[in-house]
Amino acid sequence: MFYLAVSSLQSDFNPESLTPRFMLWQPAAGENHAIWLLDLRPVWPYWCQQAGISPIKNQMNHQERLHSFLRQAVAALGGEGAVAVMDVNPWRALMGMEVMRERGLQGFVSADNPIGRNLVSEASWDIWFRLAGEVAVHWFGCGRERFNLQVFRGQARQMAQGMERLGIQKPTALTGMAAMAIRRRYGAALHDLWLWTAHAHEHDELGSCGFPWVLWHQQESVQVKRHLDMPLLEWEHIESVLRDDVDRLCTLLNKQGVGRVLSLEWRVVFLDLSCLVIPIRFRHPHDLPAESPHHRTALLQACYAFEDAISAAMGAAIDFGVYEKAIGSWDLLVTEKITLPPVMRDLFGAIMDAGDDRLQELENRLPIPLKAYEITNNWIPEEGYCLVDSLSSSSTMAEQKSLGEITRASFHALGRQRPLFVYPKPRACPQPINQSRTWTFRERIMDKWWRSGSASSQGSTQRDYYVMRDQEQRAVWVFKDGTGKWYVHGMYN
Amino acid sequence: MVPTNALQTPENIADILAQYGVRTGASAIDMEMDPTRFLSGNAALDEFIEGGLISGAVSEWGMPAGQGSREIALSFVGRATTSEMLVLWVNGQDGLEVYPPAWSARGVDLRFIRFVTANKPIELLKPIFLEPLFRLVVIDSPKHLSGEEWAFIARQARAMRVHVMVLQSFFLSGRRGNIWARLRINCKQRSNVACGDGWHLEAVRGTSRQPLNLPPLDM
Repeated sequence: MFYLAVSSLQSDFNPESLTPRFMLWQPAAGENHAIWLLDLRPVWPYWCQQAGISPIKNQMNHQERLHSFLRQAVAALGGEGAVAVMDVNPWRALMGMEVMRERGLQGFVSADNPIGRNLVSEASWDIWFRLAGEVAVHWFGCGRERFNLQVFRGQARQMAQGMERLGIQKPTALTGMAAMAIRRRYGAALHDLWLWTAHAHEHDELGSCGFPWVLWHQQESVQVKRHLDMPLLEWEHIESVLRDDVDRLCTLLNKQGVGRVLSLEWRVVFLDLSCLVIPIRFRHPHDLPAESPHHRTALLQACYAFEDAISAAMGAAIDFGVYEKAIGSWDLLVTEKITLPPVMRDLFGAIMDAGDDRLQELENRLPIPLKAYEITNNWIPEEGYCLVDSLSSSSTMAEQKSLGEITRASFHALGRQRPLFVYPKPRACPQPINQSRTWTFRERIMDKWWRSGSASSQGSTQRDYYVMRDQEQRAVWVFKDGTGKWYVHGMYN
Repeated sequence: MVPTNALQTPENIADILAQYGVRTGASAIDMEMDPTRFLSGNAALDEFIEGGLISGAVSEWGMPAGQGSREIALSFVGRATTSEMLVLWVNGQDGLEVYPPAWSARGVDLRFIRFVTANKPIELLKPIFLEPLFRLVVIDSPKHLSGEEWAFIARQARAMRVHVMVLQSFFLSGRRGNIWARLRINCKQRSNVACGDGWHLEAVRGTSRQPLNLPPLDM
């Protein structure tokens, strides 16, 4: 649940207090509230940490704490009449919010809990087609490929008539219909909307893919410019000058009351007037002014980005003159940030101070990410775990909740038999020879054949796992699938 | 019994002597009480390495692929994570990724471990060695560690009071020494680990105990 739809009458409502990625879906007009769509993914681990919970844990009490935290934030920022719905994609969040507004409900609701889940399932066709019309206008504005607004409107009318004729009361009643049938009858755009409505949980990777996001950018950017007295080429010389500029940037940020920075852009201009844009990204929202004057984290990330960008630029250049590629000037600007207004500081000050973000600070200083995993209680090896950053889908969470302690112990025993290291994708290998001496049977598993939709492929969904000794006497985890093909999947290292 | 605070001081003479391979009577202390040591939970193994892995030191382990001997390293990692210490595992094995369910099943609390894949760990992960956030760092199968890099690891481990385990994908040789590792141990598979026959541990440096035949670990 990373997408938040917020409707607020407050003219000074600033979504940047919650995330740097947001869009104005519908401006305020007369009695109509402004509607904002917020993408919380880049700051999700940060807010989890500020709420005093770990993003690894999907326990109910942790969710409750996070929801309570967001509820207070929305109330503080959006005012009394604010309506906010959190869901797996922006489309469902908008639908949930429309249902709430139609019923005169206020406050924050997440689709993680039953009330939130029911919101979308109770949405009428009127709401669905009205929102579909709004999305279509945005698609038209964004220039979606092979999209014609008039054709879409015709298809929508045709679909509305079809649903009325079939007696289908609500959009969620269409879940049984095959995706291709929708696409064939009503076109790709309505197919996308239907997929977001009915199968969002099964297709988490969809997220906001294809959604007409137009990110909101503040008019006044935080930016500093530097004209160098002497052209610079080496990082050792650039570093101290850049440090001064980051410091100047901090002064500007302090004036605006900006809390944390997620990314900077460093626009370098060479002596031949060619320009190179170097993005400087932080994995977690970074408190730039707090590191004044040394700015170790920012300069480390700048150094990594500079080396990557320069080596790529050098690789691309056929005739690379050293002098021409010395840097003459640059601009440094903040591209993604979250502002923490006094109301947020007052509200969450105690929690924010309590958060131990040393690990996040350290991760911000590294050129490569550190990975944390959680297990998902799934017997298929490839799906038995997920990255914590990707955050478990609600379907995974529902699956986990439904599994008791006994099942958990069973998965634990399964894990004990399996190797510590696996190949990301099983590698095909020839059938082992002299099997009787070198193999030990471990387990038989079945793939989730019902997901592929064809039970006829059952033969290839069965796997028999063995521990084998290879020619170098290494213990290898191999399996034979239902068609008799052999694969190496892991190593007992 | 030696007071605990005496062990925590870096000037402790036993620690300094032990870094140069000199054993003292300090190894007879009650290790379970010592917060500066990482234990495996296996009494025979902990006794073999003279009371656990010491904070502020580096150990080098010869663990060729396919022998299942990383389970030995995992016993230390598991104990550290259950004590809520942060552990970093740097994976340098070609093409292989960690399989977290197997780690969890062997007693590793996944909330307190982070993984990173890096062939040049020191170059890429230098900031990690400059802070004492990760109490135990395991560098698995580094491609090549230069003398300067070994010196850096040893110096930072001592300064930050963390332990760094370096797992090599080959057997260590006593002929070609490594002055930076306080403990150097080869782990050989006794027979078929799948049948549960365990390992044969032989110290190259840091402990003068007889080789240990270690049964499969109960994790």
